[in-house]
Amino acid sequence: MEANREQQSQASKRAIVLAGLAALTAGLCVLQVRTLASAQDTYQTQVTELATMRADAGAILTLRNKPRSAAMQTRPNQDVLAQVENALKTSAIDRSSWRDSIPQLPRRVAGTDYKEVTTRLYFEKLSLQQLAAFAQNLRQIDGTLTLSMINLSGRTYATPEYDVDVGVSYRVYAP
Amino acid sequence: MNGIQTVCIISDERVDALALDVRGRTITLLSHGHVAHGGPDSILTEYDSDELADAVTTALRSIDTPADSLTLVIPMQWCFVHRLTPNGKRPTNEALSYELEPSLPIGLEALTCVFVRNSDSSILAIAVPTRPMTELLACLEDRDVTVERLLVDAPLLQADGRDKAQANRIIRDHRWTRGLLAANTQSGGVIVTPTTKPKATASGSTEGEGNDDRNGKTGAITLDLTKTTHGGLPSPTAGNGRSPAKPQAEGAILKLATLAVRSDPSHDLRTGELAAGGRWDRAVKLTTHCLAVAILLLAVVSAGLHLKTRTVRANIATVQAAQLQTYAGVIATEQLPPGAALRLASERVRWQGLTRGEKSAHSTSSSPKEPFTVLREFVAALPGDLRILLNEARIEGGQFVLRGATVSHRDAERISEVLGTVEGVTPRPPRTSRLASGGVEFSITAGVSDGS
Repeated sequence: MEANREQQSQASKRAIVLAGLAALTAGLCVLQVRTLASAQDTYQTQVTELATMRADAGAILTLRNKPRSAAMQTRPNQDVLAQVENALKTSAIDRSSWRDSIPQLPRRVAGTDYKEVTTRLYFEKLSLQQLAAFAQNLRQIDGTLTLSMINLSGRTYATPEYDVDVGVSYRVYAP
Repeated sequence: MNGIQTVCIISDERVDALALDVRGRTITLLSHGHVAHGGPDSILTEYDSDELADAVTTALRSIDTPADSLTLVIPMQWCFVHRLTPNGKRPTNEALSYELEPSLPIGLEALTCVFVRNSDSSILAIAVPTRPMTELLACLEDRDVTVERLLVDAPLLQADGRDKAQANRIIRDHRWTRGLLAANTQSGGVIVTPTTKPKATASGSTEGEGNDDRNGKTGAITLDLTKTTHGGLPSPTAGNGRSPAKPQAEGAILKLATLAVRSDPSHDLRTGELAAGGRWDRAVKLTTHCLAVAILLLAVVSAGLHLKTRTVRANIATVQAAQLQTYAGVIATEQLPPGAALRLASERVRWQGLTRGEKSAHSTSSSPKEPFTVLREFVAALPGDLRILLNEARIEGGQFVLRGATVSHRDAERISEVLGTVEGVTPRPPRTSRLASGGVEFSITAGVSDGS
């Protein structure tokens, strides 16, 4: 009888061990299902991100080949003045006409991601044609530079040229 | 033990199945069937348990009677039997096992033993090899045949107290090819040994010829059990009409079945390693099997999930490699930084800001049209017949101020109208005053917007 009981006890223990093992395996399966679901989610996210990244990378490479309309950061003022000199030279304007240059403080352009950096330039005795040529050439030499203000004065019957005060500006992309 | 009892008796030549209705002391034969089958001479002989289990199953099917329990009776020659005369008053089974061990041809650990206590304080030790019996019982279990009790035929007969007057008996019907000697000594002890050769007489009574047995002390009797009745047990007939059996043989079988049903529990070999499990054990066994199958299935599922996860992870690695390649094509790096997609998106926005067209970058809703453009368009729009001396022009902060001289007030108005034709410029009415030297001096102020 004792041996019988012992056998029953062993069978019960075996069943309990197997039940534990089954529970463990089931738990493992649940864990693996979760891991798989997580991995599949990650995979879908990565695939979507890859598509977005490819689109962005293509756009960036295209944009890099386009002329810039704004600078990445504030430029040294002498860099701007060097471009002005080039434009004057290209427009056949005597350097002696250029009297002064006064850099202004950068200011945020309202409602945009840009800051505007302006340098005021003062010229003496410039005709309208010369001013037009200067403006045109400056734009061609450096696409980021524009004339943000023009003030013509000093024109008389005797002197057909103007005293010109212009603001040469560029924008810095600063979101 | 009332109810319908099934007894299955294995002998050298056939397997008998009997269904008995047991009610108190009354035993009624319900059905009897048998299957011819040559069992092994010894359980230690190599034999096919499946074949024997098939024979048992077929015999049981032939009686087709649902029973409360099944008793399996195995032949004597499958067992080792030895009479013990212990010194102690109530020796334990363990002590008896040690006493039995020297008399056994094989190790005690390979046997399952029971000890039947006789009235004269001698003990009949019955030992059956465990492994072959386990195999047979397992084969029967596989066929949904659960043996509740396992008994040996000859000791049952010797324990039958009705024939005490007969000191010895030899059962020599056709079941026993070699015959068996179950000898009751005068003192009540028992010696059971197989005879070495079959008796010449196959059946029928030959009382008094027992002098040739090895015991030699008493006469041998062949029982004619058909003449014995037990509590109204009917005379046996050939079960299910399968094969006509000699009445004496059938009687012996019935006698044996009756004794098996009424036997003392001490004869039952379903003990130790051969112990019957019962319903609980069957349930445990079934549960164990189910759990094993479940574990196997879960393991397969787990392995499948593992492989699938590995595949998905490999795909993720491939996609990440592609992401790195894409990212490195724009920003030189050897390692994909966290949030690479966001960084690229940010870079794209930055480049869009840097390369936005002139209109976009320099003209916003809050910034006026470019001054030089306004001046150029204004000068280009002036008609050729209009004389104008432009003394001062200032375009700044969304305001255009013109000061100059022309021929007449009307011409000053025309200049203002021309200025109004320039896109984004909205002039106010000019202020004019006549000059002493002739002509008209004018001043025009206009608002400048982005022109859109």
